[in-house]
Amino acid sequence: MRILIAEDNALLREGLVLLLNSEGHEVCATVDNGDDLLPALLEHRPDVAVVDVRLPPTFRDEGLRAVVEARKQMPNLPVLVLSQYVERAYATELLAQSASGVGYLLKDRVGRAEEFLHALERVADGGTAMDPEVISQLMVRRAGDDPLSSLTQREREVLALMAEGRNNGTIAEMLFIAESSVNKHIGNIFAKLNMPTPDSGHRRVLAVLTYLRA
Amino acid sequence: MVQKSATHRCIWGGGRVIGMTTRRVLGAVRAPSVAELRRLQPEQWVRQTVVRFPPAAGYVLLCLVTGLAGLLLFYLIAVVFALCLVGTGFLLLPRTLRVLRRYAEVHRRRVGRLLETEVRTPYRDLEPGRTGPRKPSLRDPAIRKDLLWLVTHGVVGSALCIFALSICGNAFNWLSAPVWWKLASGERNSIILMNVDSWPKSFLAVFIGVGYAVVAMAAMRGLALVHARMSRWLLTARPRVALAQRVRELSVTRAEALDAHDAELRRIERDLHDGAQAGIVAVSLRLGMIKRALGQRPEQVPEMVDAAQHLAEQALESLRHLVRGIYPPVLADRGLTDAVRALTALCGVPTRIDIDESTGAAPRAPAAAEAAAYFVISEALTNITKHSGARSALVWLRIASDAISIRVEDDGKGGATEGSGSGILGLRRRVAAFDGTTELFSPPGGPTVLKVEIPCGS
Repeated sequence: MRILIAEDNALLREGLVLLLNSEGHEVCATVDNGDDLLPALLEHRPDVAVVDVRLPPTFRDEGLRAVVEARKQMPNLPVLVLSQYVERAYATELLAQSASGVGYLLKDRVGRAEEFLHALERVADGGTAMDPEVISQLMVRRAGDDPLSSLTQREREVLALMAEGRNNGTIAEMLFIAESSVNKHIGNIFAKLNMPTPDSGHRRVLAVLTYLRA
Repeated sequence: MVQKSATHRCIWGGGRVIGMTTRRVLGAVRAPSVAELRRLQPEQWVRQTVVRFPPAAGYVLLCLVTGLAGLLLFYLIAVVFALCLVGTGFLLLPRTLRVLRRYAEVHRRRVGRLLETEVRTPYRDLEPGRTGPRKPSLRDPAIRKDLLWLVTHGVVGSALCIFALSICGNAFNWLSAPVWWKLASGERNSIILMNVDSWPKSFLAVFIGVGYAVVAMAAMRGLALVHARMSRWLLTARPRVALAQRVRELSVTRAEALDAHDAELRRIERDLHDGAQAGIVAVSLRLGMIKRALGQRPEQVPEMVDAAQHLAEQALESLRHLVRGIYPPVLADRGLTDAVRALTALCGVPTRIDIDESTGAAPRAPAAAEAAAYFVISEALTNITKHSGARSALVWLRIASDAISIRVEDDGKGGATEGSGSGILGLRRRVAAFDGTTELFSPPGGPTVLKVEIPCGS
């Protein structure tokens, strides 16, 4: 994969380049500030971009804003956003356009190299990778609303894992239940949320996220 | 070039009029009271009277000159008022009032020197944080009181001086009467009440003359004090006005303190985000890579472990740096004097240090005040190293129970300003948060002197 990295911290940037190169990916460009990010994205058109939310010059959310702008011009540009904090507003903005090819992970997750690489691949393929923290914040926000509050505890867990981008088999493993139970839970969730039963994992996540950002 | 700090400082009421707690802040030192003077031994009293005679006499003599000049100024102001009736006076009024204010300020300093206290008054247009033109106006009660003072000083000051002159003149006349008798052979000295034409009369005249001289010596300080106290009363704002001014001033410094606090929080957050937090993420990233390498490329693992450890050390270093910036551990362990010694030892410019330790170990000030003092000196030394081009510097530090006083000097090229990114504005705000004062003297060509006073204690 051709990957663009936008990260202002040299240690992390080099670490990411090392990790991705050693996994056989090509890092086509690195950017260390918000101003250069959008031109670089448009120029290199990477298979996936790894972007820090907070970049110079203002150290606020220029990474995120550049990504949102870039995805307006290249709707299918897959982007994995990294942040040291989970900010619900960031996730909502990110998902406001389209939930395909979007990831939002805490920086901490890069330590779990395997999972990080999987998440990156998922995003590059047009899927999603949402940090459990992000999901739980989004869920908390929705907890007072009717449709979600009708879910059982187990169904919430399943929904959260679905939103992270897990497939049924993984969810079953993670929750120590049979895959058939997972299927049943998912059926219940969509019934309760008034959604047509989806056919693919990807579309299923889209549905969940569409609901979450509503 | 003297910095703007003067406007920050010169604006509150005289020490007398404000309550106990603010008196210390206002820096008032009370002159010895009559009761205290009475407790003096006779020879001490004589010595003090003699020592204090010249300044008191100078003060009283000047009163005649300045009093008459003041009456002239008052007349001028009255003319300008009259001109206001036909309109042209309005153009001249601010300028005239500015002269009045300058005149009053000169006398505040004179009175302050004599009473060994600080005499200040809050002019509305000179308040800190006030925007717009600084124009004295008759609406300002301080200006109106200055006018009242001008007249009173003109009348009372001249009268007191003439009275003092007459006593001195009498002493001189009586003392010199025998000389006239001897030199002018019997010419009658018409000023005194006795015709001195014999030795006994000469002795009597000298005796009376000495008496007048003693009275003049003793009374001069009394006259000066009477005038000075009256002037202080007229030259300082009423307590209500002074307190209102103080409240406005505190509002400004509180806002600045909040800004400083805000900037400090942001700095800490940024430091954590970019330093320790990023460092630990990087370590975690390396560990993840090591885990993968263990299976696939075990020969690379030792090198990667080294790199990870290096990153962990860097993260620790940045944490240590941050902690030092919040509250230097050396302050907690050793106190301000030793911490400052450590600072000067590390300074890139050879720095002497002057700490008064005659009273044994310096008292510990509150942690926040100590930290502020530490950062002031640290910032000053950093500036000296970076910008001044100095060959040597001096840190002068006095820690008292009620304030920490700092002076940092260098022999560099001067020209330091608040706007040149030198951190002096931040420093001033940090100090202002403690209701302290910052003065920077840095004429182009040097030398630079930074004076900071941080009040502490109750």
